[in-house]
Amino acid sequence: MTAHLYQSIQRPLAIRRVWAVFILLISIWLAPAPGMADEKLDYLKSLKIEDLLNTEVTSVSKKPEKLADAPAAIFVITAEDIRRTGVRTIAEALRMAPGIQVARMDANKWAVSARGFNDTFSNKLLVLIDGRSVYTPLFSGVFWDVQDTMIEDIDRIEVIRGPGATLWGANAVNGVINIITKSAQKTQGALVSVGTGSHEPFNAAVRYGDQLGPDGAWRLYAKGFRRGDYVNGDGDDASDAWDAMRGGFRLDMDLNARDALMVQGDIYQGNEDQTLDLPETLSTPAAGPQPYSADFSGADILARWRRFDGDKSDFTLQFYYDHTERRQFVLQGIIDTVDLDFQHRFQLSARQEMSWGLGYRYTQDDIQSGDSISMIPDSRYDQLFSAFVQDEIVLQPDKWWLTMGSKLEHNDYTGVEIQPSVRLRWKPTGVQTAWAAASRAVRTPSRTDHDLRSNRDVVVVPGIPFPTTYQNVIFGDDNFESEELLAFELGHRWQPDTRLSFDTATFYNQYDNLRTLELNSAAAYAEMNPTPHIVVPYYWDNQMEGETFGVELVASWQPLDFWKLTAGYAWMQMLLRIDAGSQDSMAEDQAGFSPMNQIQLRSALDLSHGWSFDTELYYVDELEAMNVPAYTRVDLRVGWQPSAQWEFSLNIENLLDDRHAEFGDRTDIVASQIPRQIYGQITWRY
Amino acid sequence: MRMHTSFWHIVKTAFAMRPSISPALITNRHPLGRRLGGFTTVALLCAALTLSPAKAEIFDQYQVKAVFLLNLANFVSWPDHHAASDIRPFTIAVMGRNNLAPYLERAVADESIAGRKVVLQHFKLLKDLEAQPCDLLFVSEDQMSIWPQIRAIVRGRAIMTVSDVEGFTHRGGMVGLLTSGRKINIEINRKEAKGNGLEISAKLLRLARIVDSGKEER
Repeated sequence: MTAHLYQSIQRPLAIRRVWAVFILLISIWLAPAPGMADEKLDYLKSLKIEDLLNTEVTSVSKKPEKLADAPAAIFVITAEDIRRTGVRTIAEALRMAPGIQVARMDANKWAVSARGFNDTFSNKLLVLIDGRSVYTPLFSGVFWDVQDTMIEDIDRIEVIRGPGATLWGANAVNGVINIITKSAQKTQGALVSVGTGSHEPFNAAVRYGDQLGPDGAWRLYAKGFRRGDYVNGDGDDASDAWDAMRGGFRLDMDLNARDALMVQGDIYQGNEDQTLDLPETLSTPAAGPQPYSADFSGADILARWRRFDGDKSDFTLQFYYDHTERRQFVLQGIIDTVDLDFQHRFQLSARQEMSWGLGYRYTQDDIQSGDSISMIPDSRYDQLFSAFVQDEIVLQPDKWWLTMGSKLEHNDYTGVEIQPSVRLRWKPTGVQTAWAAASRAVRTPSRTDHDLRSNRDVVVVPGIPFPTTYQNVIFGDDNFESEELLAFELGHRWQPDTRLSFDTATFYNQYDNLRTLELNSAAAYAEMNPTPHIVVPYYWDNQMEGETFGVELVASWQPLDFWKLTAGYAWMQMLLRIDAGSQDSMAEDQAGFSPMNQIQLRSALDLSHGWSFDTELYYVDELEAMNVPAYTRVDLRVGWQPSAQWEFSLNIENLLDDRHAEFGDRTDIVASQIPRQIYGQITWRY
Repeated sequence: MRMHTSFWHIVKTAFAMRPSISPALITNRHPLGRRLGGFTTVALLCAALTLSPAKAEIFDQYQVKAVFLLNLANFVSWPDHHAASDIRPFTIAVMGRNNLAPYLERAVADESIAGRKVVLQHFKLLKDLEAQPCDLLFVSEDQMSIWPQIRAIVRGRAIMTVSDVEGFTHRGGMVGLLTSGRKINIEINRKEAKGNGLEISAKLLRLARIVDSGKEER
């Protein structure tokens, strides 16, 4: 009762206090009327060149986005956004993209999704790092703890909400996240960054870059961190600390006027703790929540060759190899992926630009069966063939464009999948763009859907002469089909002024063949090991359909040269219905794993003498089916750049409460609470 | 005077929000939260008062870069500017989308360099660059993927290439305008400029970091 009362008071107070601070800031900087733009111009023009170079500049202005005209719901997180917010992981950076659901489950786990279906193992989002797909074929989701790079070397993160299947392929159902690192030419010289904080005893990164011949460059980096325990519901240490080390390189080279080559690679390893609440097995009784440790390692290498033939045509040939290993209590596995991709773009006529491509991916895994989870068979290799074609047609120059295309894939689970899309773009004026799109996308089966065996609860029924032991077991199904989406989107972008912009996107998604779990008692059978029992099988099936719909708004306003405000709001609704024949009583709960309302408010402010002050506020609605209450999170960062070489910063994250939950327990993993944190960092560049 | 009154009024309002809601409940449950919240407000105020940009002007980096670009022409000598082509206006061309262009448009208005009117051109395609004359070429970030081709077209022509993309001079660009920390730094690839017949004045070279054929001199 008290807790409830506290929450209902605490929230408005928190918001009010933040508003008070904002009002304060506005009043301070608006009171002395800022000089008119042209006065500033005249002043700058009057300066001698050496004085001009000594003026203090701000970097808060919005960077122009190449994708601003794209007929899709795109949001770009820039390197500047990442630096200014002081985020240290890719998953945390994604909070800045409106319409993306980011929930930190514990110190080393995140649930990330776009437009609903969020879960620990969300499976409808495609994530790429420099063109390398990083979702695991085990469950089509992403292990966010291993998706990392030198944070300072990220050029931008392009976040596409909605299906991108035509260009990107299967699993780009609800969105695509494209993490793009800087070219080696952009990271010349040395960078050393060291930080520590209340829940991060140690965080360090080093990078060095130099020229390679007249037209090439390289860089090397290494980083390591130790992140401490978060807290559990009682306020005690949650046993979810982790550490990792990582190193890598990148090489960029202009071979001649037409050809460019890029090669990069990474290697990493780490350990992490987690709390699991595992069900009883036939040999061991349930022990309640217990700490377990896990370790991971991996390596990847990618090469890309691009050729440009003037304005008319260019092509890209890309190859990568990725190796990941993961050893945790419930599952141990090694996955190797080889991927080859070719894309060609050319001007078909004055009004048509064609793109087409071919892809091949080979995946091999080796899973070691544990007591509770195994894959049947243990090892498996899969091939994926894909092709796409897309045509962008200018219907009326500078006014109307039509983009049509389709992806054609062949995978070893479901055979051929066709994923077409049509997009229409209209630019009524120079400052406005409206777009509409209809697309189909599929989430193809993963190893889990097809080959899983997961031993769940053991039930002993007393009987005469002997008691009978039953074990509930989840099995993958050979007949599991792809989950399907038909998506309809409408969007509008408006930039009435260079300092003001609005971006609105709405969507209506129709899903079919969504995954359910069905009991098949007729298929029950007896097993003798480790003790005699009867297996009660549950199979994955496709007996759910549903709709999601929602609105996402982003507004960006730069009232002064050195101050930018960004506001975001996302509202969505998920309606899921199991088929008449389905017995799954849990599948529909997924609708309550994603927040209905999300608000964000960010302020980036540069003060004189190299000081900067950044504030972010995130409001995330309750997760009804998980009993996770709504929370408001406020992060602050004070930065000081006394010179080009040095940067000091202090972050306070989750200022308003001691701790809060962002996600509930899932798949035997006990969620932690996110504590208030203080973090300081020093960066040196030369 | 009036500004002061309203200022203190707002400060008071910000603090007055605390006791209006049953303070005991909140203070007891989250003492650290309360203290931190108050601390932040005070810290904010102090920072704001001492560092108010009204005391020392802070400029948009793109505006400073635009003015610098216009200034740059005074420190460079073009080989063909003595010829009959002098009647042609001094042309600054911009390739691609960037934040500089709107500032540049205002900065070049009614300006002239060595008696020649300054005009601004926007090039969309490589063939625009091939076909039209220009003296200064600003290359936007989104054009860097085709930079080797831009460079090939510019080669041998008296065009000074400028960009604010990091590493531009390391890739054979002539002048880089880089924001490092809160200042603008100049990088110059003297060799590349010379190769195209452009002479850069010693004064500008002294202010810049020299990057020649991939090796920094300073």
